[in-house]
Amino acid sequence: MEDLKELIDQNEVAKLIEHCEELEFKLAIAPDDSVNLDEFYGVFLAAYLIQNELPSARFLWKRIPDEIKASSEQLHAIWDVATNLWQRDYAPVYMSVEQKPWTPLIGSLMKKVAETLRERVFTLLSEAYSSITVEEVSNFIGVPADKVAQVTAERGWIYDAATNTLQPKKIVEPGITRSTSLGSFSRLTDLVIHLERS
Amino acid sequence: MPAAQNLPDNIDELLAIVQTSNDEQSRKALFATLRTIPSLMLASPTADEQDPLDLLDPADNTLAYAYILVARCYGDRLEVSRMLHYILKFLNSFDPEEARHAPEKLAQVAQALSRIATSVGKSLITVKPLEIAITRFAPSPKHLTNIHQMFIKECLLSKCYKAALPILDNDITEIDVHEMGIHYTDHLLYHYYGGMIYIGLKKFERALDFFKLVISAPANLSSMIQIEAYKKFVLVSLLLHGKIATLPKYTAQAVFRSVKNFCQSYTDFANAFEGLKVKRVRSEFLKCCDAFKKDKNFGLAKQTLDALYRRNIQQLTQTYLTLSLVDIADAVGLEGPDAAKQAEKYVLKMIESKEIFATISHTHQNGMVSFHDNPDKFDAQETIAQLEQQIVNAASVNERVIRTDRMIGCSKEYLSRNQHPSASGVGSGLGTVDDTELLSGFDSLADEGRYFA
Repeated sequence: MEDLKELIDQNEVAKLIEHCEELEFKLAIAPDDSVNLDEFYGVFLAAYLIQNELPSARFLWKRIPDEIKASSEQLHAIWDVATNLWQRDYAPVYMSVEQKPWTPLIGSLMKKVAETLRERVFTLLSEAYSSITVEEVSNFIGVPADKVAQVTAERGWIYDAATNTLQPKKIVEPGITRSTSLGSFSRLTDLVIHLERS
Repeated sequence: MPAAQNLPDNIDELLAIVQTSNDEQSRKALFATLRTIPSLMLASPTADEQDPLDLLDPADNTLAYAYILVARCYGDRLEVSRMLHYILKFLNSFDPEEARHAPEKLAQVAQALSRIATSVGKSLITVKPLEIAITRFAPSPKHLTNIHQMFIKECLLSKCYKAALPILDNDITEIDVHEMGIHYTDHLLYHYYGGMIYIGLKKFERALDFFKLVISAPANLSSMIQIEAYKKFVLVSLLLHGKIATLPKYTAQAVFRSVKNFCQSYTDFANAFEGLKVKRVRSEFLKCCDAFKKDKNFGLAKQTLDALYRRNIQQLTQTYLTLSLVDIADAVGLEGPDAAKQAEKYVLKMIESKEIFATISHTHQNGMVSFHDNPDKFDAQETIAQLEQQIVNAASVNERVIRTDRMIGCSKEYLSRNQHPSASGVGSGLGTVDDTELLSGFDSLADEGRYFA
């Protein structure tokens, strides 16, 4: 569990997942009483949610032994968040993250779930909407309606008081830098040789 | 049979032979001997009550270890945790070269492991050891082994879908029937289970490929596995393309025939689906519901209904530049008081997954959607890298095909069938063989059912 804590502190979510996956197999073969399973599965599940690997989260939930599920309210709370994410019902996600009594370790991960979700949603909204109501944005990013204008202004969104809508700022992809290296030449020659031969 | 005269009378004598067989000659004799020893003897302890498995090292005496291990695992009294220890030790350290002399033993050890796992109700313990065994046993990641399908099945049973990917993501191109101990169904089951894993992880493109491989496997008679694969193939096709994807030309006629007999509900449903009329699809769905449930394809079938709306929305992009959400809901057959809201959800989802390119505007009441062309000009670095990767893949597959063609051209079966001079050109004229000739060459062999024999 110590290594898990370390990875969480370092914010290495991909590595954390890898570690959890390995640990799960190890525990299956050689159970270890020093590992708090309730906490371990919580970390594991939350890590999948941060990476938005929902199918994997779903199968993990099915794998967690019933007796552990039955004794842990926290696991159920994480799973509720997962189902909300699955159904793209985001407002309850932010609410549970804020309000549920998480243990410190899980709490920090759940905060991360909300943060990454918010970032993802911001990107999606600026791509998908040319204008959107304040109320909707409030649901999408989990910020109270009266603060939405302020939060989105930081990202360059424009608020239109007359219609109570926001105009998201398009995210401009950085220009394409194309470099021609020796590597691409060699690949090109390989390709031509291949085509010549056949 | 050089070893026949000195058959061991008990396990101690056997161990003595094992420990003295150091050169190639005597090892070969030992392998022959092992095959003849009754399992009762193999499963017995030594005269001084020691466990022979403690005396042997699985890395040095792989086959002897495997024979004793298998005899013990299928004995009357199974000491679960003890045997588990020996099995894991074996799978972690067996010598792949030696195991290839009797690949069926490795499969039996793997089976013993999965039996133990089932008996204690933890399929999870099999996943890692089997994965390690596969990577150790297969000469390359492209080789199929006789434990591939077992591994994927255990991943399904233990719900560790993701754990199957390191193996599944390699395309199988090498099927060495003798060295890897492969049976015809191994290939079918591996790709069938693999397809199920990909469905679970929502990687439908890959699932479709896997089912195609199963269905198009050469066959004189179709296997039930192919029929089940066809059912899933139909549903995944609908999800991805809105109609049944085409199968390779060399798919066996027998398969087509049995599919007609056994998959009626599925083809009916697919026909209804292709019309993209929500009402008709729904009523057909209700009709086929029982078949879907019976085949355990209900969840997958339900996802196609969702895909129906998405497909309809996609159709709209070809006709309209802008459309209100209300009109979209109406056009694609969404009903109810919050139809417009639902339509918005679909549109948003599709923008996210890049199925369509559009922007939603709420400046006016109810919301409008304007559709755009794909903004990707396909000039990004990644696109080029992707293209290059595909070319490299195609080139390596092409080379593999040429190799196979050469092998078949040289094989006894092929030559004996094509004794007359006019036919010999196809096999040897590698430079001029084009795809259709290659395929038909493959086909005639496939009809013989010899490809996997």
